[in-house]
Amino acid sequence: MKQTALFKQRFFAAYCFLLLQIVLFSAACKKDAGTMLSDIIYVRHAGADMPAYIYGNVNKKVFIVVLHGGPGDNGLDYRHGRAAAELEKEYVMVYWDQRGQGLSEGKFSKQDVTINLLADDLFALLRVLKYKYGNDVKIFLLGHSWGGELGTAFLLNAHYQKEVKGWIEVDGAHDIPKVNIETAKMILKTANEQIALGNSKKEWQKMVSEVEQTDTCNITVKQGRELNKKARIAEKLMLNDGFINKPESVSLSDAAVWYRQDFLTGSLSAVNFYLLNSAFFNQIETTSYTNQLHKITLPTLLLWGKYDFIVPPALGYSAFNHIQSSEKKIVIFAESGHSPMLNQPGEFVESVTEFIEKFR
Amino acid sequence: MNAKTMLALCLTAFLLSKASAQNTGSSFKTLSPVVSVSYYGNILIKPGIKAGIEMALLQKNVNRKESRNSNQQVRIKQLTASADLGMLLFPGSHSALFNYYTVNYKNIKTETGKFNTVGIGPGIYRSFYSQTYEVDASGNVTPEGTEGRSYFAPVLVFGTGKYLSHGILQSWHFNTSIIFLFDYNTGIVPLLNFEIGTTLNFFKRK
Repeated sequence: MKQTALFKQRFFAAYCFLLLQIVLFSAACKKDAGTMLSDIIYVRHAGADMPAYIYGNVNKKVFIVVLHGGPGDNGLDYRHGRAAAELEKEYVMVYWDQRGQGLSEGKFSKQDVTINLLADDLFALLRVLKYKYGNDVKIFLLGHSWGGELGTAFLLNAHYQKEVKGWIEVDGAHDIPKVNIETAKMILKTANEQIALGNSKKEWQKMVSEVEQTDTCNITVKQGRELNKKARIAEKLMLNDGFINKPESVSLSDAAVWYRQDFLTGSLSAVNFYLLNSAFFNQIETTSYTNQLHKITLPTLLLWGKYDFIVPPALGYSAFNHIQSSEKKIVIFAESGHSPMLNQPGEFVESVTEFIEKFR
Repeated sequence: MNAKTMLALCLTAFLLSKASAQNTGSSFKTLSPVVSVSYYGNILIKPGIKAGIEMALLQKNVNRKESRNSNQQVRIKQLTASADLGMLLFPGSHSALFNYYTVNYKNIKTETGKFNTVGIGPGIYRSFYSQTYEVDASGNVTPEGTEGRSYFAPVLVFGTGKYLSHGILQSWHFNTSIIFLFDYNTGIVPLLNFEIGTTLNFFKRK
């Protein structure tokens, strides 16, 4: 009898705990008081249902739409760390899960997926933001890595370009064939410098011997993926040798956001959507927008990590030279790799804030 | 009400009626039906709850001598059928309702009351979004309220647990389930969930 009573007590306590958890999460998702916005909306467009997580200060009516990398990442990957927290204090950040990625749902054919379709999805998102928050909202796009390719594709459409006030490209891959060539060059150049300095000599020598075999005039898609893997190793070596600032550690709440995202579902959905979709995969890996960058005429801020081997700074300089905007600026972060928002969050926020305050 | 929903409801009703009809003893040695109630989800962040009914269909006792010195071990191998209804809750975002039917193989150690289960069966899964806006090809926006999508969602369940000797509380269990969502974006995608729960035997005879 005593045992039964004890068991019942424990049982009751466990259910109370669960109930409390539900209540707390309900409360966490309600709109904050005052000017701080906390919203989750879904955009249904062309067979896809895409969530947009909207957080931040609505006072200035400035919305920064984050175009995540990958393909295969998700919007909320960009919400962790100091940079996002600081930007949310001033502006509204829109963390959008692109079609087929993150927690986006839907039903559509692999054959229909193109970069232009994702650009149309982005247009749909902007239409919804203006519908919901008013036509006077000022929208800036911030595209990182693959998000740089998507943002560029979007802005090449003159009609779409009118929807936004400014373009912030962060280590953006708007020309992957060029990325591959520049990655090979940067690895060889940096390797020689590092070998001379005696840093991670063995690893750099191994990388040189492998990369030297690549014919940079004729890099296949497969070789491009191999170079991408080497670029990640190179960035890690530079991080270990102290050239790149250590990224901010992931806090418990950041980890919780990642965990909440059903990471297995999101990742495997992206594998289906991208890696197992050879037509779309090849389109991304072979598209070059450099010769069309002159069509971009809106204020542009290009942010690049000096030691980004994945999308080397040469891409940033190339974009700076080709974009026809009278208001353009490039910032190279001296102690950053592919993600300056994590390596140098303070400087990153400063650059973004200065740009937005000038053009909002 | 579509055909799939009708079929699901009929199957649940059938299992419930069979359960009510078979009121026998309460221990795992009988074919007594049980009701299960579980906390369900990815444990920490996305909570959910699941309730179901499980009924033993077949049972076989297996005698086994594990070592020269030990006594004879008795295992009970059960084939059970269960119907489950549950929900996952994440306010404002991806909440869901699901319903699945599984056939389970259960291996019970009679000495300790511990058991392992593996189950498989069909199911349906319905997601619910927060405020949804539909945008057409011309860029016209139409608010749709709360929307969602339905999926054919077969499930694979692996679990372990232990029988108790606490009256109506028959056992506790910990299960890992993978719900396969068909036609999710461009393919089949698994949804991993964990389950901690208990089974209650309301059909026990005094």
